[in-house]
Amino acid sequence: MRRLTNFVPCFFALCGTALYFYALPMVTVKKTQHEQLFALPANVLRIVSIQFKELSADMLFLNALTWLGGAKPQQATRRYLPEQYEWLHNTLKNSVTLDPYFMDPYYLMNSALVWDRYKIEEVLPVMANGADIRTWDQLLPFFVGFNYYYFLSNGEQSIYYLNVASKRSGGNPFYDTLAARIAYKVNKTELGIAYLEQQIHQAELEGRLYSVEPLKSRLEVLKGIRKIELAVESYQNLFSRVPQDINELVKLRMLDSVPQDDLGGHYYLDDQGRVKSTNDTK
Amino acid sequence: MLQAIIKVTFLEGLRNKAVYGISLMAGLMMAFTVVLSGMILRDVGKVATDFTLSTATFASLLVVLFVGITILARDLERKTIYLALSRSVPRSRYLIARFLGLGLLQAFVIFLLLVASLVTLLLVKNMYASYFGTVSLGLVALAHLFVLVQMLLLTALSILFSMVASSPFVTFMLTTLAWLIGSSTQEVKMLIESAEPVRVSPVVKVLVTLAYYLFPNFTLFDLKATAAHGLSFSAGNAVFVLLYGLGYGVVVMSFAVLLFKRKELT
Repeated sequence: MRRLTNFVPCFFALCGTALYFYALPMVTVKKTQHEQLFALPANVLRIVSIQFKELSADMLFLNALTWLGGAKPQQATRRYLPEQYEWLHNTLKNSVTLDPYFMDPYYLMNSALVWDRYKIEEVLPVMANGADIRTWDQLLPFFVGFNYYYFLSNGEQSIYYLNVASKRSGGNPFYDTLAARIAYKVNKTELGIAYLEQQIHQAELEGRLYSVEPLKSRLEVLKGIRKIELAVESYQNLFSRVPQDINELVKLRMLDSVPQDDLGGHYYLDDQGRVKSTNDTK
Repeated sequence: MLQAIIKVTFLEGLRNKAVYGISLMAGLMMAFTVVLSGMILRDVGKVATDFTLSTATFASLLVVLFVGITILARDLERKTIYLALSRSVPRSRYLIARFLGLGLLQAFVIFLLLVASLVTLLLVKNMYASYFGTVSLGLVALAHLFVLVQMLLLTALSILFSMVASSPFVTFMLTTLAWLIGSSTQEVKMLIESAEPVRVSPVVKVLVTLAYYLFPNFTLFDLKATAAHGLSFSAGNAVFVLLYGLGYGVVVMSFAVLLFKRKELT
């Protein structure tokens, strides 16, 4: 009998633990997408964060980063939903409102919003403000300078920020060369090639070797696009129309061969004769 | 006698179990900082500094609220205050000695937090040297000093509130409110000033302005962003903030002493 009374509490404890592990995930209500995408206004956050503004900025950034890590873009468009972009935009903007010196939200804005062409006219001034107050930093003015020309064709602002980057880097010739190219309104693919070359250089300097190879692959894709673009330009000069496809350029020996797409896709010409890859090279 | 009261207050504070709980929480936060640093893209040093300084501020705030207030309240509740007063210690001296004892306890706790912060930051710097950024360890140390001054000011306020409040809970609430108001009035004032005049009622404006000047501006003592980004911070500015804290503290303690002299001890 005594043995039995000793056993009963242990039995119930064991059953309770098993039930706990089984039932807890079942009763945990999964947040709806709408609840997850809620962002407080920046002014309210500034007041309620009291002396922990910087910490709140960090948490907002981490929230956006972890969300991006788990979120899957739509298969057809390879883009997120508009409300998801809006939440990301608000969250990152709130983060830099709380701590305008914090680099990471700007970095994420650049990769997740600007390159996905979401509200560029709104995002770029926020990044430009960051470039203005981070007086020691050369990377942010470089991003801002590049983006102003590449996405908004605003040469004046672009050259201004590239000059800022050049001064802060102690006269890195790369920024001056890029500014000069923009002044001469060079082709945007060439600008993209220059941008990737700088990113590879930066990654090598910082020892981020894991990100060098993907960047190099993208660089090769852009170089392939540029090679075909030059052939298309020659074709247009000769025939005053765009070629039907890339093979036509090879047949006419304006192109030695169709370049290899290192990312596994293939190049094609759209209706207006623009060279594209089936891979999203942005 | 003054020294004895300071020593007793300090030791009483150290023996309080809340101090161990707060220390454990701070230690875990510092360890978490090291783990978290691996998740940051570029500003690793900045985020680590934010976390360590926020931990220091929060932990020392908890010491004021859960240790400082309790010590004085227990003194009045258990009548141990008569031990000192019966030895012809003037009330003003007794109160100042209690304040200095609590100040010593705060200084000790913040010194430990400073050591923990520096160890954490050096560890993070060692792990992610390329991404440590422009963090200034000198300013991190100065930020801890400013946290100490801030908490001394809050301790003085808690003593003042304990002179008028009917229970330790009311003192706790008043001290917490004072810290919250003092930490946000600057932001609220700036928001109201930047808003359209029609949208803000004049009564609200007057109330906010009144709170802004009446309550201590605790944001002046917040150097997190300055230390995390290695921003310039002039010596003149530092002296002004320290004098502001000292001046405000002296005024608050003078009021507390005046009230304590008239307080009926039953």
